[in-house]
Parts: sequence; C-alpha cells; structure tokens
Amino acid sequence: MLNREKVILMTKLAEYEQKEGRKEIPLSKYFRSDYIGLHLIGSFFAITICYILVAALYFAYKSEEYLANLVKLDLFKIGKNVLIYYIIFLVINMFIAYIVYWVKFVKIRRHLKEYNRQLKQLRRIYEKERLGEDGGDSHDDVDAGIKRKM
Amino acid sequence: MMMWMLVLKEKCKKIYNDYDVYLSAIGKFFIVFFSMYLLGEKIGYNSLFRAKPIMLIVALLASFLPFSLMTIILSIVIVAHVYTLSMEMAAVILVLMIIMFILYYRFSGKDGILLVLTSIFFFIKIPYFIPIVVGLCLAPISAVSVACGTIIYYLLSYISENAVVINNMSADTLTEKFNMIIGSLLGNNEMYLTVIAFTFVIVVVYVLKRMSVNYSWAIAVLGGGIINLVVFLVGNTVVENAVTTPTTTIVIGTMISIILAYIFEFFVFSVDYTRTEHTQFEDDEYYYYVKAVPKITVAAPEVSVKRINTRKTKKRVTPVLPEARETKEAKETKEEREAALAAREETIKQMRETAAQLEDYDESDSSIEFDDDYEE
Repeated sequence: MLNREKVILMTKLAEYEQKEGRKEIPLSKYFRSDYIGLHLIGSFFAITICYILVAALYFAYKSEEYLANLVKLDLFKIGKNVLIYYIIFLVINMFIAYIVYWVKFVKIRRHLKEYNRQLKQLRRIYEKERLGEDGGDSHDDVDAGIKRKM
Repeated sequence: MMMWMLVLKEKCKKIYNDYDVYLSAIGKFFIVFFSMYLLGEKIGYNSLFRAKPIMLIVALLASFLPFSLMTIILSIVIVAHVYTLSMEMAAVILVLMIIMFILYYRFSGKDGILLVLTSIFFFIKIPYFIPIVVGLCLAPISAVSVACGTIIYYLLSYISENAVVINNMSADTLTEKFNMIIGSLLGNNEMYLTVIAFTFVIVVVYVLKRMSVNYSWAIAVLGGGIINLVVFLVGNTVVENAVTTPTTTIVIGTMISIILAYIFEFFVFSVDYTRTEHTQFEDDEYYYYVKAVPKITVAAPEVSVKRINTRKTKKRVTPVLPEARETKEAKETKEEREAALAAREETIKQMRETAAQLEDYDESDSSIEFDDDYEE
C-alpha cells in the first residue's frame, strides 16, 4: 500500500538530494573550521593567479616606459612594491573569502538540519509501518498493535 | 484595468506552470540569439560568429544548457570577435574576464549572465534597466557583476570606435596596443561614474524594496531611477565632461528603464513562478516517478476596504478605555510640567537681569550656575 505521507516526505528528500544536496550532503562531515580552511587554501591559489594576471596587465601597460629606462630601473624597489601590493591584495581578498564561506557554511548547516529532521520523520513512518505489520504478535509494542486494529 | 491585469498575471502564471520546460528553453534561445546578433552588429569582426546559421546553432545549443554556461558561451563569442581584430585586445579582455571569474564567480556563479547582459543593454541604450532589476530581484553583492559587465562594455565600445586605428597599426607595435587599450580603461571617467551610479542604484533599490511599506517595489523602482539621474547629472558637473552620452539620452533611457522595470516587476518578479518538479526515487517496494506540481491559487479579486467613519468610532470609544484615561492624565501632568518650566525660565531670566547689573559678569558661566542652583 502506498503511504501518502511517506511519498510526500520522500519527494521532498529526493528533491533536495538531487539538487542542492548533491553538493551539501558530503559537507555534513566537515567542521566549520575545516570547511572554511579548505576553501581558503583554494582561494589563496585563485587570488595569487589573479594577482599575477593583474600584474601582467600592469607591466604590459607600463612596458614602454620600463623598456625606455631599462638601465636606470631600480629592480629591488619594483620587487618590493610588487610584494607589498600582493600582500595587501591577498589579505583583502582572503578576508572577503572568509566571510563568504562562513555565511555559506551556516546556510548549508541549516539545510542539512532540515534534511536530517525529515529523514528522522521518514524513519518513524517506516518503524510505524513495520510494527503495524508484525507488531501485534510480538509483545514489545502495544501501541502499534492497537493502531493496527484501528 | 487593474483587475484585468491581475487576471492576465494569473494566466501567465498558469501558462508558465504548464509549459515551464519549453518556455525557459525558448527564453534562453532568444537571449543568446539576440545577444549574439547585437554583438555581431557592434563588434562583428569574426565572420564565423556573424553568420546567422551559426548564431542559430549556438543559440539552440545554449537553450539546453544551464544558465552559467550561457555566460561562458557569450564570453567566448566576445573574445573571438575581438581576436579577429587584434590579438592583444582579445588578450586583455580575456584576462579581465578570467580575473572576474576567479575573484567573484567562485562565490556565486548564478548571476554570471549579468556580465554579458549589461553590455547587451548598453548596446540597446537602456543600461539603466539592469541595476534597477538587479536591485529588485538579487542581492547587493550582484553589483560586482554589473560593474564587471560595465567595464567590459566600455572596453568593447572603445574597441569598436577605434577599430580602424587598431587595424592599421603594424604588428610590431605590440606594447603600444597594450598601452592604448589599458590606458583607455584607466582614464575613462564615464566608466567610473557609471559603475558608481549603478552600484548606488542597486543598493538603493534593494533597501527601498525591503521596506515594509505598501508598494515598496514601485517606490524602489522610481527611487532607483531618480538616484541614477542624480548621480549622472551631479557627476557630470563635478568632473567636467565626464559623460560623453548626451543628457537627453540618459534621461529618456532612465525613463524607459523605469517603465520596463514596472512591467517586468508586475509580470515576472512579483509572480511566484514555482516550477513543476520531476523527481524519481525508490524504496524497498516501489519505484516512484513523481511530478510535483505547485498549487495554483485562483485569482482572487483584490478588495480594498475604505474606512469612512473610523475616526468617529474611535472618539466614541476613547473615554471608556483605561489607556485613554491614562493619556488624559498624562496630558494634564504635561500641562503642569510646562507651566512649571515657564515659571522656572522666568526666575532664571530675573536672576540673569540682576546678575547683568553686577560688574565683570560672564553670561555663559553664570547661566550654567543658575541652572544648577535652581535644580538643587
């Protein structure tokens, strides 16, 4: 027999599992610090690549000037500036990334909690069904037996 | 009129619910085709992507792909067009796009399409529509993608304006080309102003829309339009000749954008187009193929209740209510307090007058002193 309540619940669960859940359910194993930390490592590389690209664009823009004064260039100073800007760029972007992933984690946790609640509900329905089938004969659950008779 | 529009809205909703799969595919098809057509008109240097059959094929392909891939397809089209003209320009655009993708789209790839759509709306002269709509239905963070889209548009428009010059440059002036295009980007005041204006509009529309007032979205759209005009006009006077677009174009464009935003809000954003969902799953006994159709509420005519005699009833009720009595008492005490205050002021005045007659009188100091005395 089809149980209407069960089907509705299962549909909801399946919908979540096949959409957001596909990415979010594996994250249930993570602590917040692990999740954010892992993503920050990725962010570090992304930001570094980004900075290299920005710097490349800048040097392409200034290339004529640099080529003209090639002899007089203070390479040490340029290197220092590149490093300083890199650190500033990195810190700002890492901070933004930290906040974004923190908010994301909180959101995912909320979804997972709801998912878990629905799973529990489904399990309860299953238990009720099982007890309804053979619970009357065994003495461990009187309630289920009564329910079956009703 | 209003009734008729509401009924139309419900009908739209029903049609969308019945044919959502086809409608969203058709929508994607038209967005991609129209975008490619406009890009072909404005920066159509690549004959391959200018050919109508190719446009059709790409658009058809895109209609089956998710939204995020549409952005990538259109970005490739842009880079391909520019590449045919000049490799260096294409490299700059590509690098800028990669930077935007890396920095921003890791967080939220959903509104990536704005990157291209902003340019498209610039081409059809109503870019002011974009920030208003973004403020209405997305979060302020999307201002980043609108800003990126604006930058890309100004790059493209610079390239299309100077296509002849770029074409005639010899191959060995590579650094010169870089210098030219990046310089155009850095020195473009209109671009900066546009980015600022659009960010303002997005934030203002977003904040106004979230106010708990009736018709907050209508106020938000209007407010956004006004802010847009104000920032452009003020910016144009502060930084002289920052905006090369004529003022009339901006005003008319903003007005059209506002009207379009109203229409869109009414038919698209204010309607809950919950989609029909198809899922499949199984348990120990069955396979389930579920089609979950959202419930559609029947169009209920909006009733506005006009209370004509509310004041009267209130008046009649007030003496009976204990709170009302309290307020009355409070009023009386307030009157008393006011009288006391007036008396006090008068005493201070008298004291001041006597004090003024004394020599070496410092008004500010003594007045404070008198106040303190009085209170003690």
